[in-house]
Amino acid sequence: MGYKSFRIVVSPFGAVFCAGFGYFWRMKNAEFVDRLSLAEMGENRCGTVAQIEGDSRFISRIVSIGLTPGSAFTLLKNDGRSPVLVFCRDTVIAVNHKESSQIFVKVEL
Amino acid sequence: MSEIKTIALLGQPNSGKSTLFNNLTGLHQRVGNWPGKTVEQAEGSFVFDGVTYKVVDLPGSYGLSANSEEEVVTRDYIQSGKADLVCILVDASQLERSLYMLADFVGIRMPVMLVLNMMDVAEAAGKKIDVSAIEKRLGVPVLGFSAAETERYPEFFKKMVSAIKTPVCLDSGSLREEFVGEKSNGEDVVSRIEVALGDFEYGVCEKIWIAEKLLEKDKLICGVVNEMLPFARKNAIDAILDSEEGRDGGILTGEAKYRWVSKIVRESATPKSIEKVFSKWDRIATHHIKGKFFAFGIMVVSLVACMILAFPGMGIGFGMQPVLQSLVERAGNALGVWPVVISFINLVLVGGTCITICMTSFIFAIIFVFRILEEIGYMARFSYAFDNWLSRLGLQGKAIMPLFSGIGCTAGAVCGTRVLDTRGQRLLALVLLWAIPCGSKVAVVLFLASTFFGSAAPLFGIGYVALIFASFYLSSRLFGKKLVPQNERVGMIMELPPYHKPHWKMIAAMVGRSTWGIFKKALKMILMVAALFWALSYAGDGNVENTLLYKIGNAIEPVTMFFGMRWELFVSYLGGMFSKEASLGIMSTLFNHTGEAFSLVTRVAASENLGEALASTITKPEALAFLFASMFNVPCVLAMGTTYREAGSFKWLATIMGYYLALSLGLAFIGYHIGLLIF
Ligand SMILES: Nc1nc2c(ncn2[C@@H]2O[C@H](COP(=O)(O)OP(=O)(O)OP(=O)(O)O)[C@@H](O)[C@H]2O)c(=O)[nH]1
Ligand SMILES: [Mg+2]
Repeated sequence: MGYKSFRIVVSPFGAVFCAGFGYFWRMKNAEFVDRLSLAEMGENRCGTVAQIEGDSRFISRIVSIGLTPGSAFTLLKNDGRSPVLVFCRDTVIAVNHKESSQIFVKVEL
Repeated sequence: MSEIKTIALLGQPNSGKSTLFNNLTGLHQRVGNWPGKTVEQAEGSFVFDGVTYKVVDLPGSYGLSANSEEEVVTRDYIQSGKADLVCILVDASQLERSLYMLADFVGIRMPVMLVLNMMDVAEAAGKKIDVSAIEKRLGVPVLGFSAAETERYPEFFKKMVSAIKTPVCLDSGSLREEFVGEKSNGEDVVSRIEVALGDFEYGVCEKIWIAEKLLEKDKLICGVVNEMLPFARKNAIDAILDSEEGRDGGILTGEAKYRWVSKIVRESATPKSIEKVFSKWDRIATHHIKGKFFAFGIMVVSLVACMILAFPGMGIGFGMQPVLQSLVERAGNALGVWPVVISFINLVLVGGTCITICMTSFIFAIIFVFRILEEIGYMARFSYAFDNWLSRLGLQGKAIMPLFSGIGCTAGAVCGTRVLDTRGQRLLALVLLWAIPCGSKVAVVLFLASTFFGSAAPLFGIGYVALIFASFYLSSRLFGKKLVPQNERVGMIMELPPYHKPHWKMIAAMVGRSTWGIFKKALKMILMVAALFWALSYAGDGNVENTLLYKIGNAIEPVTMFFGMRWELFVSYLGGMFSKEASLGIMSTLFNHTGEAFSLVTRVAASENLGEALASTITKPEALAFLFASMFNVPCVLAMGTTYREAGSFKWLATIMGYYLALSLGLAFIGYHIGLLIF
């Protein structure tokens, strides 16, 4: 089998591989955009909570203060180190910055 | 005999429970809580229409989960079924969010009444709340109320009496619908767990409530279920909890509860402008640099305010002492009472009472100023500004308030550690707190430094501050890991309440009551210790060498010299554990040879020549040793007493004391030996 026929046989696989990789890469980035955490969100933007991760203790504390998936809020303050301030259900809530990265959000554009 | 009915007040923090409690019970209450936050259940009573009502003010928590000690206290009380009526308070201005507590209460078979408090605030914000519609939906009594306005209390009494006469519990049917959702009946996780629970019974809690808590992985309920259920059913439940829905149980129940709430109140949502919610002030108060400067400014102002407020009490305490003592002496002599009795009355009873007045006046000032800051709503911002720094020590923002108030008075500050969420954090804060010098300690240290080292004293001041921060580091290293393990370090999650106008009358009443409670406890303790010290230091002929203390001191001098302290200094050091003033008083007795018995209780008996006497007798290395020992000495009896109460165990008091004894003596040792090399 010569080099030419080798190329003919292999290149479809290569093309599929490239396409697959590209798709994978896009999905990965797409997910990254979707999974923006509260800690990365900009000030004065509105959003809704998408997902909350963490142990049951953290979840119970966050839920009972008023943040659940689907709650709409406005981010009042996020300076990258102090606790994040959100306005949700008529209340200003402070969440420790580190823990706020466990709360994922959808940002309204 | 009249009837006694018990009412429990339940609600989220800042919903106004304590306001209602105080207005209902007035003076008839047992206080023991740090004003501002209810952290331990407070009880009181009032009489209405010939019936005695016992009221229990429960600690505020956002729900009925058992994440912190306070929440456990609250839930235990509710589950004990002792209350005839549970009065659930919610903040009408944040109705949807604060009704979560009610949603979490569904499934507990206790008679309830819902109080929509802060109606005045809600109305001012333009919210229309249809109270009777809510009442109809829930099927339990609901009252629109304003706990801060006394003229509205008749409405409360009326509602309360009828709620007790015809007790109704919340019906769990409507919440169940939220769990079932679109599924066919019996398919949802909650119903499946209920089935698996079988005939399981747990006091006033319905199975739906147990199922919710299991889904939320509530430690206590999981424990109970584990213990009481047979193996097969336990496995069935574990399987449900491990399923996909079960794993996110906490979120699932939370969503269902908020859906339930949103069906009860269709809020006339009035979107507020961000400026209104988060003002320019707030932007400054929460800024990571400006906020801290702002906070320091407020600290200075409040410390000055504390000094001013404490001044009258201090004046009375110290001013009364010589007058009373000479009075007792003259009366005693005239009546021919034994000198030993006169000495006891003067040094223990009169002196002890006067010093208690002085100490409590400081505590009073601190409580007052902090209550105002809390009431205005600044305290939460204050905590916010320091969350970052404190989380490095293993604490969180809320600890700033007690730590900072330590500069005024350690004993008062110790009570303030209750605002912290976990016991570990509370103990860690207590440990750090003991290193912070109160006003009297600063005065003693500066007096000693300037006596011995003259113009170099400011250097010692700076060195002292550096040592305090070093000790923070050391303490958080030594204790932090164990008390607040890395995986349990919970950060700040709290509400920044809107600014309020302070209700002066209520503050005054609250602070007055707390101060009185503290005074009574402190008096007992101080008199006891003063009596002990008096017995050790009494000599019939006034000769110091005939006192027990002298004998003990001399016997152990070889040991104490190891730390660079001759016995007179060591006894002064021990006296410093009683109070800082005592340490000076003892020194002036011992070094001036004034001939009287040691007095623990005379204020800066530091007569003018104490400085000279000290400087001429004591060598520089010894001075250095004593200075270091005084810096990290145990704060005072009152601080020990309150620490014992807060830590809740003698073991912890002993541990903290041992730590500071070791620290101060260790520093004294180092100081002495370095001093020997230098001077
Ligand atoms: N305007 C207004 N303010 C109120 C009312 N009730 C309470 N407040 C204020 O709300 C604040 C919080 O009240 P507290 O009674 O301390 O709240 P609490 O529920 O005991 O809080 P925790 O002890 O932390 O659980 C205080 O500043 C009160 O003065 C009300 O009906 N109207
Ligand atoms: Mg309270």
